[in-house]
Amino acid sequence: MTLADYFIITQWFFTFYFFAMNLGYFGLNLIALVNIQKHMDIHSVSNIPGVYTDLEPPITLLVPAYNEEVTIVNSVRALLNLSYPHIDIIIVNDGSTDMTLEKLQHEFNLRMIPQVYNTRLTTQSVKRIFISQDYPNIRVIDKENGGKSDALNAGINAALTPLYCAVDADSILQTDSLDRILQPFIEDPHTVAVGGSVRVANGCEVNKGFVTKTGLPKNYLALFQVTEYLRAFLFGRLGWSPINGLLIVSGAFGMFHRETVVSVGGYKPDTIGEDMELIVRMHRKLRNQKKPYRITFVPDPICWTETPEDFSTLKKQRIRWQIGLAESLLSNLSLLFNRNSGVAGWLAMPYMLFFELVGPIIEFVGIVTVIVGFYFGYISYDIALLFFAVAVGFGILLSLVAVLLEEISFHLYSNPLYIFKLTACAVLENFGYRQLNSWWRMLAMVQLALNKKTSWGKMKRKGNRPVN
Amino acid sequence: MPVFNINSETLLNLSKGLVIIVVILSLLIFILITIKRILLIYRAYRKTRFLNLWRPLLAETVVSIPQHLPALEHKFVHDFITEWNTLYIKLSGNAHDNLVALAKRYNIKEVAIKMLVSPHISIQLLGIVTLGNMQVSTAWPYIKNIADNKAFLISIVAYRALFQIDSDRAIEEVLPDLLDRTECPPTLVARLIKDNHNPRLCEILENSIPNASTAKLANIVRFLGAQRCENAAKIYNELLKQPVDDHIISLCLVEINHPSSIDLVRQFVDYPRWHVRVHAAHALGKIGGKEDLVYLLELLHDKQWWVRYRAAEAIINLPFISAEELQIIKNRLDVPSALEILEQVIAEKELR
Repeated sequence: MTLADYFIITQWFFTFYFFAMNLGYFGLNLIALVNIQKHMDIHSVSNIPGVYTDLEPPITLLVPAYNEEVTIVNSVRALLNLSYPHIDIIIVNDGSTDMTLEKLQHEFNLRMIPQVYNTRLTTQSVKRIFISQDYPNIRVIDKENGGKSDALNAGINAALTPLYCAVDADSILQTDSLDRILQPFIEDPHTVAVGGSVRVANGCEVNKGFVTKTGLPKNYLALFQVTEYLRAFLFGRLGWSPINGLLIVSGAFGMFHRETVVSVGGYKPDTIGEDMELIVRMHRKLRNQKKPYRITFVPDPICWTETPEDFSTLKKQRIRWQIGLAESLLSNLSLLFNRNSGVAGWLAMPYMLFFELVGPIIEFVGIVTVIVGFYFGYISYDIALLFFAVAVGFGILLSLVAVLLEEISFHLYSNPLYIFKLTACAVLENFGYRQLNSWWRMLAMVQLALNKKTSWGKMKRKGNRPVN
Repeated sequence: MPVFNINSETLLNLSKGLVIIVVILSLLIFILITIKRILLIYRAYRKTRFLNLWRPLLAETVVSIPQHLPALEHKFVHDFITEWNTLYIKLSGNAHDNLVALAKRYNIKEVAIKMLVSPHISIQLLGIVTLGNMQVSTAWPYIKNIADNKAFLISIVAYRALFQIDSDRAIEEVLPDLLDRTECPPTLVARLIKDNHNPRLCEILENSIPNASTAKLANIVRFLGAQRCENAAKIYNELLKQPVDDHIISLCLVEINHPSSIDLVRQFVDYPRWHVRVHAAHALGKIGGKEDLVYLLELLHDKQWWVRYRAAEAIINLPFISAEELQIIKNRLDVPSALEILEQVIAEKELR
């Protein structure tokens, strides 16, 4: 095969790949646009007083914490102020080496109770269990370090309610977040997991653990992530949810049916993307058992998280996410094109494998091919330019649709200037930022191939959550 | 010779076409975003106007209906109804009467009935909630129809409204249907029937037992206990004598509170399913005598954590066990799992 043949083959491969990928995006956008209108109607139901009265079951909030001494007290205080009526809070101290446990002990007047604990899911050993003497609904499990999945499994073992909600210790929740995320469980008894929308907290005003005024970050890296999150949550997940093809519920905030999670074996301790792996496994096992189930997403902005503002942390985060994605998909490959696997196995899984997992490699090879082809004269200037124009153009279009979805639905950014700033970001992020992300994701694939280990991802925090 | 030329006109034209489409679509979306924002600003302005005018008036209504009331503009009707309901559920007594009188003055009843046929779930629900709060008896057939035919959430809200409108009629006409809706949370049904002293209530519950599905029977067992029905104990004993389902046995054990059932309870102490043993331990704690301590100690050594936990709870709550006796029991325990669970339960009790 000559170099010219190579360019001809790759040219048509990339063209078909590009069309297939954007067809997928287009389909998701379409579903999301239709679904957001329907959701907003249901969303406004919760504004009607008294509709959900007596329908709320008790819920356990699981907060895995590893070296969270800066944020843990504020986070737990904020959880105590959630509007939901029946909450148990279990904080799992996963062998922190800082003052996390001491801060909790001091702040919530913890008292140790004898260590008896129902080990339905195997975890690292639990050292002590505490109960708050000031807030009887707070329990703290102090255990040996085993990672986030292990901490969550320990929390599930200690939980007493049928539903639990996994919350990152550094997540900032809306006061009504539990009421909102619970709605699918009330509306459809087959619901086993619900994910909520996560938004960028950088630039927002936070008071007593809650976002009191939305804003946009000054840092450009964080600013680009605002549109990125909108795109991921408002059409990515909202597109898959109505057809029961959602393969991820964010670890930052998700609600689960405890017995179902236990029945599929809980969180897998040796994975990085434990949140996605659990969901893919739930699809696989529940499909195999031919049990009716729903895994749903609520687009309401209910959880806020601080995003990286420097390249180094962002790079680590993206590498971790990509490895998590790979592990989740590859360890559940039997879901793919399985006779009983429905939308999850026939659409969502192939989409994730071919466009999200392999996508960065193909994107990288595509860019290199165009540059090399152009250099050696196999690709004309017109084609090279148009290749980039179309790729960037579609990127801009998708980001703009995400901003539009936000404006149709929750319009959190009340200042009109913000929305125009976001629109500008939707354009600008396509010149460098997205390509950089693809590069990092490709590095992750290399790292995965080399079998390098990663652990609890820690972020450099500015500690911009004010002390109460 | 390759089939496709690398610089083929087709690809070039296709790409150009795509770029043009993308640019046009992007501009359209930008225009849409701008229009949406303008509409949002207008709606926020309208809402502020509404709240400035109506919040003080609604607050005043709580004490007495204001002498001079402005006309309710059509565009404010839904906002008015929402505010009215928000206030209604926060208050009780005379305030309710005043609010209902105010709503009647603005013909909210007619508006709410029209809302029942809206294609939007939120508007339908707002209509149902409003009619329930206003206790509009003429709305009964419409709401009953919705309750019988609609999806879970709407049905539940409709059932609740029917109980608000006429509780006695709801016991006769709605409760049998509600018992069939087994997906409905039992706590909600229990709350709906809680304050109703209609003598027919227990009769309807008892009559629903024959041929009831397991889920339905489970709910009936719960409600018989919650309503303190006269025949409840007799029914539980019958169900325990001829057990049909483990879940029903467990529920009967939960509800049982008469010492006459103690022999029946004892027979479930070594039942194969641990879920049943858990409730047997709990029941022994409630109605057991000194002779039942031996059964509870046996359950304290059960291989299932929950059985041990409930047995420990039952032991420490037995009215005839003193602190000294409890200490003796503790000292005699030589199996670590039994000792640990008893210590945990004692520690938990001290905290309360």
